[in-house]
Amino acid sequence: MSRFGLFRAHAIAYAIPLPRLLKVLSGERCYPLPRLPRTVTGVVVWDEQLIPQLDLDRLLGCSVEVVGQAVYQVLVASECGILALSADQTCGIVAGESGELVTVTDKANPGITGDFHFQGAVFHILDIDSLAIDLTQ
Amino acid sequence: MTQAVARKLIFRLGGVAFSLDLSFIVEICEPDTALLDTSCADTDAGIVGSLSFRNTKVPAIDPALVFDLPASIPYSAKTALLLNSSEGNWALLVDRVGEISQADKFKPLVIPPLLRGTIGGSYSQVELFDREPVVCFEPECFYGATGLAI
Repeated sequence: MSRFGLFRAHAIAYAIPLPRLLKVLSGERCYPLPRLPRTVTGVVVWDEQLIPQLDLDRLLGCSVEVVGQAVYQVLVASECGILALSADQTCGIVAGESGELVTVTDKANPGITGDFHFQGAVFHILDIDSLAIDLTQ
Repeated sequence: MTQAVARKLIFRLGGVAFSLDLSFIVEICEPDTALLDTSCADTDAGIVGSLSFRNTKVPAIDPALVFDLPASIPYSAKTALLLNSSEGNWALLVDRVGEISQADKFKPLVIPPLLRGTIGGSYSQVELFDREPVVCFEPECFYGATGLAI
């Protein structure tokens, strides 16, 4: 049985497969550092580690001007290390069977593997490894 | 006999916190106390002009150009840190000077491999100070025998 953690950040609703979801931090700041990849907004400090925070708006092609700090930092495991995603709202952990899974093959957005339709909303299922690889490009 | 304890100065540039070993600092000039002469600027090398310091012209370097950081305040509002080097004194222009603390209060952090590609040689160490990541500023990368090779 697949399960997802559901989150919202600005105009984006996204789903993380539960095995990839490590921790949700509340009220942790994201700090800028010089010369970060263009798809990284800053770093979050967790357990004395620097965690790159991905710029979801840029990665997923949204043009939303973000002001201020996110409420939550969602830590996820990728093959290349831990990454952070910002979120303004947590929408719970749900079973895949409680909604409808739709496979998406959007070559423009390889970071999205599918959509999860749940209670009238569409959450993009993120391919964490693909997003991590994008950092190295 | 007391032993000298290594200390570091925190300064800020484009929203980023940096630490600098206090042993490099000759003097700190507050904004507007030293006039920047921009007639000898070489922005490719990060040199934005020169400052008069103790009857000598010293190069003034804006590391924000090398670090690709946004220009948050005008040069007239910047603080100049006069630093020593094997090539003589030089001025480092920063947005704001913060506190001075003992070096052992800074805890080294590992830079994630995913970030090393773009960071390149512009800095090699980040430390944790008061729960905030702080970039270790390496003056020798900016001025001196091996300077400006980033």
